[in-house]
Amino acid sequence: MTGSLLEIERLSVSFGGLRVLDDIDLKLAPGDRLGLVGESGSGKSTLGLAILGLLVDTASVSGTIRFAGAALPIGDDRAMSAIRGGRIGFVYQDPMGGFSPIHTVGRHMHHAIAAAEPDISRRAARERAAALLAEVEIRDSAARLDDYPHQFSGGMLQRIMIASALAGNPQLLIADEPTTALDATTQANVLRLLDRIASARGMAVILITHDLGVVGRFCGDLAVLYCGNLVSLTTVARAMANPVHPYTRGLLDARPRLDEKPARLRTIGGVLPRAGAAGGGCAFEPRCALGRGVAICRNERPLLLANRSGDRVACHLAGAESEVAASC
Amino acid sequence: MIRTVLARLGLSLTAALGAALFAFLTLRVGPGDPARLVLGAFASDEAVAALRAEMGLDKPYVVQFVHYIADFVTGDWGKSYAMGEPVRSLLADRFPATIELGLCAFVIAVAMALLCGMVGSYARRDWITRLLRTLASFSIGVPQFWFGLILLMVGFECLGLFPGPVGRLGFGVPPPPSVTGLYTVDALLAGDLATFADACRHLLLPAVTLGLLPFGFLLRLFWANLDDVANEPFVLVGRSRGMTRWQVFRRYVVPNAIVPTLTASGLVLGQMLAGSVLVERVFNWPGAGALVTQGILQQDYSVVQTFILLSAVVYIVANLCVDVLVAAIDPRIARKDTAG
Amino acid sequence: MLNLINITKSYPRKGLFGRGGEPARVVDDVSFSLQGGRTFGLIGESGSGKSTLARIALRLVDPTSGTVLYRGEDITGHAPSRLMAFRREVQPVFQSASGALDPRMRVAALLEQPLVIAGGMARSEREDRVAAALRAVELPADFTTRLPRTLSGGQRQRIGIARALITEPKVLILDEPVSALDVSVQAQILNLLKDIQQARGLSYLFIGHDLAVARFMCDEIAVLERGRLVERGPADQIVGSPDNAYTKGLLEASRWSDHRG
Repeated sequence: MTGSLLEIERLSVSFGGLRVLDDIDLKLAPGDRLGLVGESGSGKSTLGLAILGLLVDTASVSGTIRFAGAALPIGDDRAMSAIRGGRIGFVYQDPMGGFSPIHTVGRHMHHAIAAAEPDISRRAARERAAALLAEVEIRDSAARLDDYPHQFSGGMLQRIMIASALAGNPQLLIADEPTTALDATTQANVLRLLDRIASARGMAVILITHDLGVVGRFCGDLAVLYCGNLVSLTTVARAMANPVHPYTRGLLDARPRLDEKPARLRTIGGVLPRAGAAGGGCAFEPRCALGRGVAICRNERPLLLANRSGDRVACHLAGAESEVAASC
Repeated sequence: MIRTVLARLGLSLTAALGAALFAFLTLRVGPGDPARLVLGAFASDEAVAALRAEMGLDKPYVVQFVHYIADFVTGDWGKSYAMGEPVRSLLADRFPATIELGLCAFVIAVAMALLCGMVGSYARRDWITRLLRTLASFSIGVPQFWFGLILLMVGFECLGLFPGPVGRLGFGVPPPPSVTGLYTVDALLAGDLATFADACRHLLLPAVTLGLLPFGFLLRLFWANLDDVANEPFVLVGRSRGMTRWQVFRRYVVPNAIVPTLTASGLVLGQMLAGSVLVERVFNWPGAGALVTQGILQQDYSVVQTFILLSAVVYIVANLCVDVLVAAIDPRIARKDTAG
Repeated sequence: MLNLINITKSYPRKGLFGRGGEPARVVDDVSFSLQGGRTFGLIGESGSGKSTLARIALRLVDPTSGTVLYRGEDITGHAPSRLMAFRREVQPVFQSASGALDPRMRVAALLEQPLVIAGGMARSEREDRVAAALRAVELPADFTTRLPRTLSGGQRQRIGIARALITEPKVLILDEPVSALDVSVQAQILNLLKDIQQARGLSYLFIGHDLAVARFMCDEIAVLERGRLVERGPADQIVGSPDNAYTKGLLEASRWSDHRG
């Protein structure tokens, strides 16, 4: 650990009184890969946008976000613009929607490059743009700058989106479901590319996804969000081998597998409650295989505490469960 | 691109022919005999029949229609039987007057709609949005002649800033040498700034009156388009690249919202150029609207038919310009062309 | 139950002045059959023609050539009036249930709509059917008064299934029924579909892109690549040891993201 790149402290976000993120604490070292996992409505995309400072228009944000040692000016849109362009990149989930249909790819690239480096000449910007497209393996990159978004496939557009996110040489890339809209084979290729680029640049990545499999390939750490609460922060390896939080376990078990054919899939009962609907207890309690009906789970909000192996888990029964798991 | 334009042109010509046919049939199906109208109730049947033959009314409809179109194309627009004057000279002054008023109203309506739409969508202050929304509703709801009269009352009688309802130029101001027939343009061409200023002062109030409704319509449409585009993901992505809100608005939101607005404004332009009887009445504007209304009532075939085809041609040209403009902005339209 | 024989679907590429080129083949000589009480999976990526095949199997789209047999009867050329029984017995479930549900109609009205259209059923009987369909998809009976927008994605998909079940069909065409859902909801819906199949002996045509999901759901799998069937066989075999290069590529991609540390 060479000190933190990103430190989030007590971050809460609400939309019109509805709390979507609740007291999030999170740290990221330079070059780290964090998988941010949750179901729709868990607040995972909101967390990404909060770090980028893109929520101030619509939501009330409290808490502090420190980036490379200094607190981000999340309330100051102009100051945040400089940081967004230069130091934090963003990849959006839907590559088709992520480009203005009436502007060439070169225009988009130029806008991104000029935002990070306002004094750059047109020609230098164009060269940079071509180099960035080449970095994401777009063939014939200089010529393709003059093409429009609809002339590319979804996978190619997602590569270009990554290229434009790299325009300011960011130290952190926030990728919100970058491959969800793509076919399986394209998905694998785009993730491999992202993997290679992040390693080569030593860039930290927060990968927001609902797909634990993708996290398994790509990330070192795993943060699981449930109803706006961070319920578990562990290494991916430990989470996959022996998930301590019952929600993480439920998510893992619910995936159909290639190598076996059970008669039924294991499910998490019930439905995701609405944001902000949680009472005083653990938000997951009504659906939890372990804690449902247990008094402490129902009445007391579990804190995100470190356990023996250094993982942080918000569950009253997590210790008990790992013992159960160990004994069988 | 050229193919798109050609295809559109073909389509518009068909539409124009359809409109001409409709007008042709409506005039003929209606009650009354134009020859009888011209000669009066006491003329002899022989005289009426002779006039009918002269007017070509005794021929089958198909032949009449073909003649009508062919004569129009060759520039032989016939004679107004109600007024006894060639249609060409009747329309020579009035049609440019209508066009000048319509174009000016259109430019004002579009420019103001674009400006107000952008302010309304971009502004974050409640009172601005509310003000502009009220303005849009007012523009759509207010009766045209009433608004024209109010403008005259305030601009002419109270403030004395604008001329009264005296037509296109003040008394004693000679029209500029005719090139296009549009006084403002002709005055500029002749380098006569005083006449240009006078023509503009006379044009402004009627143009504002005529442009009010399309302004409200286009404002609402453009505003809604802007708000829609502002929710597109590429706006979020643009912001995440470090662009300011204004940069993203200017570069992405406005151009994308303008495309559908332009298409709609082409339709509005056609409507503006067809002339407006009400506005012409209020401002004493010597346009074609009054002439044609009268022509319809008197079954003055050649005036009405010529005007309809002329309007159709102007309409086609206007919409063609809009189509070319839209195709130039939106690459997806130009591309459909080459995909075949 | 349902046989598709040598189905080809091509769309003419139209130029503006009728200068057509080579027609685009979306589906190219595809045959398969659906056995009673079993699930046949059509797996492919976007542009493989799988959704076009679903629409042809539903007789919503006419094939350019080929035959659709339902219970041995050739229904390819049947007029809509002769397809009434077929429409009742073969029902679709689409990926986005929210797009298929009229946002202004309450659940009860949505569910009984197919019965009302078919006609000839008393109100009380329709209400019984609606209640039974809600039970079948494990939703509480008081859902009848809800509006679609108040439902979660999973609940909407359950309503989509209930709506398909209301006419007591024999065959369900499942077009990417869980692709838009979160993993935990996806598992619930997949289990539900299996339960319904067992309880009612339905045949499923399952259309999807995820091999792991297909393995769980299907008895037999066919892999589509750009309109052609490149490989077919028992699900275990296709996912376990595929022969075709394209299938192997798909499988490798799925494995890649199926990693478990």
